Amino acid sequence: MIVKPLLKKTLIVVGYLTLLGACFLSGAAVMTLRDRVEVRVTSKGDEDPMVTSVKLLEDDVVSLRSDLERLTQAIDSNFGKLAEVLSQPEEVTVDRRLHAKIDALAQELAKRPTVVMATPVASDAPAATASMPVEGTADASTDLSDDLVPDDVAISTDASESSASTPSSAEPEVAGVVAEPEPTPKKKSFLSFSVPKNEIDLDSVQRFSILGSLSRVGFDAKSTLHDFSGATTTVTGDFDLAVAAPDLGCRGRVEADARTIRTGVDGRDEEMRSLLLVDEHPQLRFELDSLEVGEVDREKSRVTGTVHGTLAIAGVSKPLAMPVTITLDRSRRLTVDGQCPVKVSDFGITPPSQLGMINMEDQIQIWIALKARSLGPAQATAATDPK
Amino acid sequence: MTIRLALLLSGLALLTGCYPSNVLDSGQRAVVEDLVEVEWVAYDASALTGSFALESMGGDNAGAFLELYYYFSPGGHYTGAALIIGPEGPTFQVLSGEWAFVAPSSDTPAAPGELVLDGEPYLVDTDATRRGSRVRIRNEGNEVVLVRRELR
Repeated sequence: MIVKPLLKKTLIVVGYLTLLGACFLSGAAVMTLRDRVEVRVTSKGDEDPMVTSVKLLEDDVVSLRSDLERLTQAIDSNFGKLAEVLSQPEEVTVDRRLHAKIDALAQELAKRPTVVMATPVASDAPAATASMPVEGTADASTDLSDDLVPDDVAISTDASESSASTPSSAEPEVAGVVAEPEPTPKKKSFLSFSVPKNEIDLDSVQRFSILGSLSRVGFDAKSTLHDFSGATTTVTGDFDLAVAAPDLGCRGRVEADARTIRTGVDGRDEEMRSLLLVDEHPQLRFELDSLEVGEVDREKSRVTGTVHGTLAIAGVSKPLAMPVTITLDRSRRLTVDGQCPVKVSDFGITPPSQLGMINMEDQIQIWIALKARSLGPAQATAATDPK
Repeated sequence: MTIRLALLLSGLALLTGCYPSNVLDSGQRAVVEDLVEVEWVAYDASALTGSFALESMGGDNAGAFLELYYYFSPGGHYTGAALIIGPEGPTFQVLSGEWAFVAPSSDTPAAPGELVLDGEPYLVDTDATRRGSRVRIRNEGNEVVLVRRELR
């Protein structure tokens, strides 16, 4: 009873071992023989391999012939289209002319020395224009600049720059020699904007516009009991002036609104407006005729002198000469400070008096503290000035 | 009678004495620009994004600029317009390009940052009190202060 189960287990183990051994042997046989076994499938009728190759070649030739025929048809079609295009004579002629011109220009460019105009440029497009080759004389460069360079491009007329940038007429052009292009001067710019000029030109006539909110005109008066000043910041005007070369011309006007002059006492202001006849003559006006220069300090951008003109108060005009100091502030604005004595009676105004005891003196000191901004050369701005 | 006259004159003198002398000192005649005192500090690119207009300008180029406007977009593109005095008088220049902000290094955090406009570097800092309300841009002795403007 006990032996029978043991035998059964032994037989099962032997069976597993046999199965495992058979699998191992099969795997070993496959590994050993796999490189040596070749499987070939053939039809029943054996064919010569040479015949098969010839047939394949014949197929290739047929295919190539077909492709060649399609290619020929395509070429025929293209030639037909080309013939149609050639049958349009005008367009072809223009095209040929253009090509001929381009070829001629290319040849000419290759022959000429490369010259770069040393001019400040305002934009990329003019820069490209300015780097074009130029005829061999300064006159030619001027012609070129007139014809091709837009108006907003500043062309330097400085003799040294011209001689440096364009070939002199005394130096004949050497054909076939291509000179090294001169480095184009770096575009002067600030915050990416082209800035044509840094400094206000004190030696040429500039148009200046008075900055009303930053200007003040007034007077100092004396009276029996106390002195006082009157002033206004309602100032307008503009003037043309060569600050350091006034002989070039000087003219302009400065106006102050008489209705806005304040002395600090309302009653006095009211009386003053009455005396100045502000209803009929609301503006105090100074017409600038000339500037008599005393001292010019270019290092400090400071000019002292005397302005001459006509002052109109309450409808009465009188010549006036006022010593002034002209400077440039850090924002490159023109600052004009000056003062001079004036008798109010000269303008038909009786000095006010209170009870015959408190009297204002006839002579007052009028003064100006102006700020003006240059708008550029006077002629250019006059041409565009709507006034 | 004499006493009354003396009293009257004294009273008048006292009344007129109510008006003190108010002569403007010659050094105060010029109008002082109402410019805000600003403490400048370094900041980040957000100080620059938006629309700005010219508040003040100093340096050699100040004489050429009458007006100046900028719009810096967050994406690094900018456009600007300036009324510049040229040979033909005041003329608007309009341009656009690329901008970038280079923050100061961690070693010198107080140093101004760098605004690069089309490859050109400028020192830039901003109003310490209201950061981004004003920016100051400097380069080679030139200085411009731009104030932020809301778009309308």
